[in-house]
Amino acid sequence: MEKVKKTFTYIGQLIVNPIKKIASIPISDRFMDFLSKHVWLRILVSFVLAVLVVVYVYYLK
Amino acid sequence: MDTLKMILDGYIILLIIFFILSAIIKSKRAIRLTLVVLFIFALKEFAVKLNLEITGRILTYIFSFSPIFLIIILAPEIRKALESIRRRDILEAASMGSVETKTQVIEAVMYMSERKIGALITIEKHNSLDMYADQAIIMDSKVSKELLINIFIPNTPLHDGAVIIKGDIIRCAGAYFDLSDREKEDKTMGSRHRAALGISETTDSLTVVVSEETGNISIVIDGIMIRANDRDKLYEYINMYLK
Repeated sequence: MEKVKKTFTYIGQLIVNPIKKIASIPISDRFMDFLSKHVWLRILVSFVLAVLVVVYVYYLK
Repeated sequence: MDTLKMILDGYIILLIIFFILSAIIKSKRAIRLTLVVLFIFALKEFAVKLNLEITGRILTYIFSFSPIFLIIILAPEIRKALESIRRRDILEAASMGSVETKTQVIEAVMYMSERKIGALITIEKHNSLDMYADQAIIMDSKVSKELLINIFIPNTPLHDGAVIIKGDIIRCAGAYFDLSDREKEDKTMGSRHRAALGISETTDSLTVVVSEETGNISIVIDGIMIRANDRDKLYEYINMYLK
């Protein structure tokens, strides 16, 4: 019940002031450490994004 | 020829995206700001697709200025990312003041530790700390044990802030840094230690903290806090990170 209440409150806040809610989104230290330690993940994400940009510009536009 | 052009284009885009990603993941603030910008972008696309005339125009206008806002707000993160290109190792030794300066700092720290006088001394390396010094009390005086001790004597106007040392000079006293918001650190950690962690996360400076409660000496660099209670250990660390 408490979880449902929390979820509704969160959605309500997101509707009322989405930018404030996004700007205060909780990010764990574990996530930060993981991203900074694993360079391969950064390269992989960059590669995927670069491919998406190239496909969008050269084939879809 | 077209394929080659596309591959070259893609490769350059990959490098740019990788650099931006590396700059963003250095701080939670940067990630949150990027999410806000992405949200505005999604909203703008949504408004344009639905032909919401006014919303579409306003959001397009706001979004066109977002790179400038991002560069201004994320200036420390971008600077750090650019610095890390030049520096192969983040803990690479930097040029610092003379042996005499180091000795004076260590002697002052040992003195204050024995008497449980809280202290926060930040030594500038590659990244400039002028933005903090400008808002503090400028001293521009030679580093000396006596002066450092005097600054941190409790109930005096300057004892609460940080001293910034640049080369052989005490640049300022009473400087205030942004506190670290790392969750994994002990919640009971004092504001002096949090400030030391905060400045070490945004710059490559080295900070020496003396705890007011326990007299413990800590060295903080690149978001890492190392306990260095004896003189030899303190010498070793300072010589290792500041040459």
